[in-house]
Amino acid sequence: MRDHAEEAAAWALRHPLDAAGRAELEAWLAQDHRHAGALLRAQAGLSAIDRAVAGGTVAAGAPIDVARPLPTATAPTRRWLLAGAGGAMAAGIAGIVAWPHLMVERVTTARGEIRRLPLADGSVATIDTSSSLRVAMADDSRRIALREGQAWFQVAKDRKRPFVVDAGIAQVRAVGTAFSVRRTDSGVRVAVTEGRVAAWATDSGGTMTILEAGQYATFRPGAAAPEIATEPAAIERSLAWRSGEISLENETLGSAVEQFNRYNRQQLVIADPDLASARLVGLFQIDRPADFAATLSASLDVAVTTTPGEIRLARKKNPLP
Amino acid sequence: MTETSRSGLLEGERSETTEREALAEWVGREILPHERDLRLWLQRRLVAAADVEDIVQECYCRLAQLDDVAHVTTPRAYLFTMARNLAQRQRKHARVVRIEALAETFDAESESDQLSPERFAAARQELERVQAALATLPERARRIFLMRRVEGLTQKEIAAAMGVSEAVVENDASRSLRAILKLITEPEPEQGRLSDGGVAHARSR
Repeated sequence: MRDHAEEAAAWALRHPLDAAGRAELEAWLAQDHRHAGALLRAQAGLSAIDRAVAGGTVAAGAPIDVARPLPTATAPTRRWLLAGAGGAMAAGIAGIVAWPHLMVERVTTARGEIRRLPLADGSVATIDTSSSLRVAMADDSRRIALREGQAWFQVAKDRKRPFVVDAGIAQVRAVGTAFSVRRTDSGVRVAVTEGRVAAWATDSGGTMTILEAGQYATFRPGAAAPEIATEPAAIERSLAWRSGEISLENETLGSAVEQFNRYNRQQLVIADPDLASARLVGLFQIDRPADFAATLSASLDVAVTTTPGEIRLARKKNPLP
Repeated sequence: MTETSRSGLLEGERSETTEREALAEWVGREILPHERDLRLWLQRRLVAAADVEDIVQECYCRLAQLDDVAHVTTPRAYLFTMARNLAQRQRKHARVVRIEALAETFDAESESDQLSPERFAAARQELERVQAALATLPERARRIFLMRRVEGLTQKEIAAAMGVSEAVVENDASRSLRAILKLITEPEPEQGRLSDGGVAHARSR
């Protein structure tokens, strides 16, 4: 009796099933009426395991570390390329375009522009200032190449078409979930707001990281593994730009100024370097650096000088009482 | 989310898949946790080991034929009733008839099966049991199950990401799935209940 169990387990685990696979499965089910029961039991076991894995930690003091990269195996790069040759992942190496019914769209946002772009598959890309991306929708995959800047993706569920974002040094993949990718010269940051994604360094040779909602990964050029952190609140704050806001929670004035300057032509300039390390808390409108400067002037003893192209922030003279 | 421009055929396939998944999910949550008790209960009714296996398997075959499980309000009772009927049918074909003993004890289980707070607590315990079973797996097998949770990731891609062959992923996952099923559904050997000497007894059996 138990011999059905082995085959049933294999069928339950096999995914995805293409048309030929489905026909094979039907044939196997027709062989013996008990096969359907064995398959259901195996699938039920698998779903119980899935739920237990989702539970996060495992009893007996052996937590499953979802954010830890996979151990790199011997000579993985070659295997990776071979195994992926026909698959969607190999195509993540940009430039190979041979999809039938391919729809390609290029989108660029200007400084200060934040655009919500509905995609053909029902997904939505919310694109941050000064960003550029390319969207390619094919029958078997959905791929975004993020050239620069940042975007937050709400991915419509379609398990037949994985949603892959290529951000140069890093790749991210999801099916039905929401996450953001920010690409700068110093690295790529992937933050998950909903569901779960797989992310990997483009030339990591097979090291993949699973990120859950509330986690982010920072990929640095040249590093094989990303830095992982779990900070749901920080992720939400860092995505305040989606509603045209900048949310500061104990960040330095230097970092706040950098953020404002990404969105505005009128640049904030810190005249006294020691001001840059002052810490700030507050919610500001992204397109109103002057309001931000006015708040600083009131709360930090900052002198503000405004010209059409610049807002200078300096320490007030004679700060000592 | 919003509508996609998929063909009707694909939509149909997808909804069929989803229905099957929903059934498997329900069985995993509502039936599987009771399989161990069911086996124990059948064993105590002096059902032969091979027959226990047959009855359990037949229960899953019947469940697989269900289009809808909405009418099953107490899954445990449903499972036990199904098993009782199967056991009785089997007895009729068997040479040794013990119907009266079966009928009596089987009914007792069905009636005592109310949704008590203990039963709700059992669901949580079940999750912990599966997690404990997962913890006994080798790291590689646990990672495979974890990566399966990323939807759309194929077995081939999991293999590529882990730098092993697809056959290794398949074997690891299949063996681990069966090991976990065994851990959560097989009654402990009677000797295992003894606080001392359980191992020695089990060996001598």
